[in-house]
Amino acid sequence: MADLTPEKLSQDAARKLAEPVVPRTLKTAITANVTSARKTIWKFSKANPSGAIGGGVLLVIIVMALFASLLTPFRFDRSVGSRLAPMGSEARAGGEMYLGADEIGRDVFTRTLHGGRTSLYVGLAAPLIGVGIGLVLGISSAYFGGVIDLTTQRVVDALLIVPGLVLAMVITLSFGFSLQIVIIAISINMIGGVSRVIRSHALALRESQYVEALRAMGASDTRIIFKHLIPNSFAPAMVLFAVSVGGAITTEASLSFLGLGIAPPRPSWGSMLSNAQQYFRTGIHIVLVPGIAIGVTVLAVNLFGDALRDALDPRLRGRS
Amino acid sequence: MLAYVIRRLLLMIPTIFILGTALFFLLRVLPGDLAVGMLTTEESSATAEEIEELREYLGLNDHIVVQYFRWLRAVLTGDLGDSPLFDTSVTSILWSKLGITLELAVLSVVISLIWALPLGIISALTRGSFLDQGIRVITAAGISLPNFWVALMVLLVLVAVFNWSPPVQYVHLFDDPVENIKMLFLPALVIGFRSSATITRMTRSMMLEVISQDYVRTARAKGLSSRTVTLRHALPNAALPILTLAALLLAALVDGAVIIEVIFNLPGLGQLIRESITRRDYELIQGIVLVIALFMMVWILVTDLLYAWLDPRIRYS
Repeated sequence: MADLTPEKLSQDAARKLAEPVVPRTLKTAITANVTSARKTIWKFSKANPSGAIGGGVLLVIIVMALFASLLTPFRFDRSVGSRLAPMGSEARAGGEMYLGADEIGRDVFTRTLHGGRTSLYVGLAAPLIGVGIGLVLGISSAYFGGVIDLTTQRVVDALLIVPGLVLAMVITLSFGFSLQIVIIAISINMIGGVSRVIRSHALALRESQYVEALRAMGASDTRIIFKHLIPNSFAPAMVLFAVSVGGAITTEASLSFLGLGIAPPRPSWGSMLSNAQQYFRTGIHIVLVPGIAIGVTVLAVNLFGDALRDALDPRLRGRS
Repeated sequence: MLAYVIRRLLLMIPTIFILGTALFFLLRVLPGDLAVGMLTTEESSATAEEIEELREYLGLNDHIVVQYFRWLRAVLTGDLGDSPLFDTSVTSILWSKLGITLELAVLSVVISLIWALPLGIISALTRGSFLDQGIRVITAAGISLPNFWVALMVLLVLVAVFNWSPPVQYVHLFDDPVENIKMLFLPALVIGFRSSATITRMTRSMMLEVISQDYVRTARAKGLSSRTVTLRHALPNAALPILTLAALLLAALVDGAVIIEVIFNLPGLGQLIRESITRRDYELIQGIVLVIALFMMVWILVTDLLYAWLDPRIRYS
């Protein structure tokens, strides 16, 4: 009896109201235990066969990139065979070069695997940073409104209209051609779009009853934003992340292709393609392999991302 | 309506200001010295006095804030400065290069509309069929394959199979239209491949939304042929967002142009952007990005207004 004070009662009521009104599809999907996770995957695959194929292919690519050093005896920065050796030729020190050698005799298969590491690393890290910043920016912009909103949105406007690749080129040239700089340069391009979508989502959340209840309880702005609004915007953020990965991989490849991406010797599919350009007639395999690698990876990512979007957030359908 | 346009135009000012300022300081972080770059050739390098003299002349010795306000004042009067690299005003260089990229952009959007619209409609009408699946795979590929690889493949096939490569020397549209189109057709096709995939997707989803509506069923029930229903009743209502998308794609083509113009050796804005960035011509980069940004903002506004004009249900206030 002692703990049922009116104050406690109203707190309970407020806490009930504070239960999010947004359907928690993502949360249920993620926190499910193993058996239902299997069921979820099965359901997802049946509803989106192309997405499941994309996811499967992506898994294979990730495993191959992760275990690159176990899958090949060669090093990516050492010449091991004769220049432009065709597919399946013998390396000098023995061992088969499945995909031949490049213009200075390095094993193409090894370089493609290690290039995959670069691509996947950038492809996952850049959207993570971009979506993260865009999420906080979009939510604070919507939550505080007024002058803050107006100013933030002008910055977002500026980010949206500047050609993304051009901005990334300027950034890498200014700050250096390291992996970190490339990731930051690509992630900056995503902030604008992400914060726009999240802002419109958060504008609706801000008006919901549970936020009002939280305010009535005296919760601070920081608490509302970080403990309630951000977790509740997780589903659209996840979707935005999934559909950004492909673009990040392509942008990285474009930067490297133009010679403004990650510096050698770290292999990147874009720079491999760029070097291969001159060997059109003599070594067609070094043009084909990195290009197919980029194409298959981005296709797999996009198919998976689209399916994820359909499954998680039907409202975002049609945006691409 | 007028108030809306004025508000939108006013909102452009802070955006451009933020962009220009950010760009100005970002570019000043660039390592390497413009004066050294301008004076150093492959055979000779300049003396310290010569470099100092040029730095003084270019105003590079002033404090960065002084440089900033000098630049701001010039921009406000419509003067984008001079390009040290080309030794002329940025505006005149921009004018001479803009045409090529604009032609490329328009051509690629036209090409992609020509086949993306029918494909999208067919895909929607035969939803779930093998044809639809096939079209969806092609569009997924169009969005996924990087355009520079597609460009290289096109060149590869042309050289390997037909032993033909596109003309290298650029000719102006008004000098020799046939040769000009010959040169721009392939790059436009490659850029268009990507945008057509987006347009096909949009057309498909819009058509699917429209054909399930009551008035379409009524039109069918009246006994109209399915061709009439599709082309006269469904398509016009699905077309608006598609047109907007096409207009927006036109603005987004700059990124693609940078790489495609380099590969096909077209002396357009894309090539200019790459050159000015790699050769550290601040004034030129700033000028190009500001002009592109302004152009895009106005273009997006025009698209929004067009939307309202085409569809009376939409009103801005």
